[in-house]
Amino acid sequence: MDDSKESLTDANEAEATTSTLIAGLPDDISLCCLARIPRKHHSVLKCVSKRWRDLVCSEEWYQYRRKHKLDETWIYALCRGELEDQICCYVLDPNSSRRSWKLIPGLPPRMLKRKGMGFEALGNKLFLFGGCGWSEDATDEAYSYDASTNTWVEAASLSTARCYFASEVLGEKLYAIGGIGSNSSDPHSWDTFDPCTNTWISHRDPNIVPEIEDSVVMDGKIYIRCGKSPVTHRVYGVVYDPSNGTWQHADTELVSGWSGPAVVVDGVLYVLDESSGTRLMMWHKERQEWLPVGRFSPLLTRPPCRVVAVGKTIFVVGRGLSTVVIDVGDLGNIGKRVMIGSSIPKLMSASNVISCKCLAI
Amino acid sequence: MGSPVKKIMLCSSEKEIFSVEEQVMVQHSVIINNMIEDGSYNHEESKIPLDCVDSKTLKKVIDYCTHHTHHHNDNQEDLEAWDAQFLNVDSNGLYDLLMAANYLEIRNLLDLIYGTIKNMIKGKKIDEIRRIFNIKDHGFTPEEEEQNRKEYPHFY
Repeated sequence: MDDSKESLTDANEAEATTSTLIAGLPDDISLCCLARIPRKHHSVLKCVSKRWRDLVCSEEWYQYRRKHKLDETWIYALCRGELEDQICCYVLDPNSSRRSWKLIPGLPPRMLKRKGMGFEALGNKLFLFGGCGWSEDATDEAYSYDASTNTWVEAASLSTARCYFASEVLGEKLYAIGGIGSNSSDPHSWDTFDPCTNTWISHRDPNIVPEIEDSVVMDGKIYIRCGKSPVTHRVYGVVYDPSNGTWQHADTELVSGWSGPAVVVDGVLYVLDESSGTRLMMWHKERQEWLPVGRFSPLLTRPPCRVVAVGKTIFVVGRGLSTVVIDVGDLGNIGKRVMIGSSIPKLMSASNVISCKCLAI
Repeated sequence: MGSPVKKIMLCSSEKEIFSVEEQVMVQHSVIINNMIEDGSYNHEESKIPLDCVDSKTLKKVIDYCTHHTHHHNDNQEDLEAWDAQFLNVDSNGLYDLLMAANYLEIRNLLDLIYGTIKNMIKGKKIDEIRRIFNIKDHGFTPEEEEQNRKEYPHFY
């Protein structure tokens, strides 16, 4: 507790009355009770008292909810408003009875106009890093958003300035891979961030290229779809195996069908093919081929979309954050039928979604 | 008829002895189940001292376990009505029950109390929550309190 602002007598008095979370209960038992309050009520708890606020924002709270499987996932979307040409961030509680996207105010001003930045969720924090501007080279700046305290702060800078790179989270670490850097930087490099040490470490590998299109984590490996090879003029991909720290070329069949935003549900890779209408495809590992799952009604989706999954539920988020929700757990067999999903209304403002991430507290 | 019902002795903080069917406590309390299983309870002479549970609370806990053992086949509605009546106590009584259920590890009673506390908060205004939990000093500076009121006017 930070009592530095209070005078000594005030502090003593405060201690007498606010020394416990709930008068008459030991704090560890109060934690057991309060941690069971659903996440949507946490902002209420934070207003009750300073002690409650500090508890809800603490690492102890986050770890307790995780350990007892009380944590609830919310979806965060990074967008770019069309009119103002600035980025903005929205949050969705997927279990709310009246699902709607809500604006998160207070994005770091220096990030607002940038493009090609990384957006990831790690622990109870969102990270927004790298990118470049109209008249600004690639940056190494990074910011983090604490989803418990709802505040943005500056985070440790990337080892390498980059924009239009791949970003992923794997093994509790943040990855910033390839992309376009400054003139002096190595185009075949990637950086990892360990939140425990709060530092970025730079690595290099000749298989890393500047032209990054998309990335996804599957089976504990990072897959990256790169631009067309200058030699073969074919789309190709690389895969990173953290067990030996090497990048290798990815299966060409897999990469050739990876034609849109990708998401992994229960170890299965799904891709949203937006080339003609909106079609959900899945990668069949054993048969090594892409199979159609179903087609979305053109009335439902508003491409270009991004996809994210909570449990077995895929959220297809399109323009204006218009969202279609589809449960792949009960889709049963694959087919070419039209899929029906519930939908979440779009925003009034026109905005393009850049990236969607899940964060559980 | 078979052998008489096996009983165990529980001793409250006031040293009052309660005799309870063994099966009732074994079914509900993880701690007592472990004591019986590992043989640390001797039926001839020992009693289980519960120094942090007073007689009034211990009687309630035994009531709860007994009812849920003998009425577990009742329909859900009846059980819920019984539980609601059972937890119709003041907050001190509730906290005492919570401490006892936590000490004895009575999972379903704990869940029941957690749910009750959740309902004491859900949909309530900040001032009501402060009153319910007897929070006299919220510890915020006037500026912080003002900031909260501005940010979440509907909570107040």
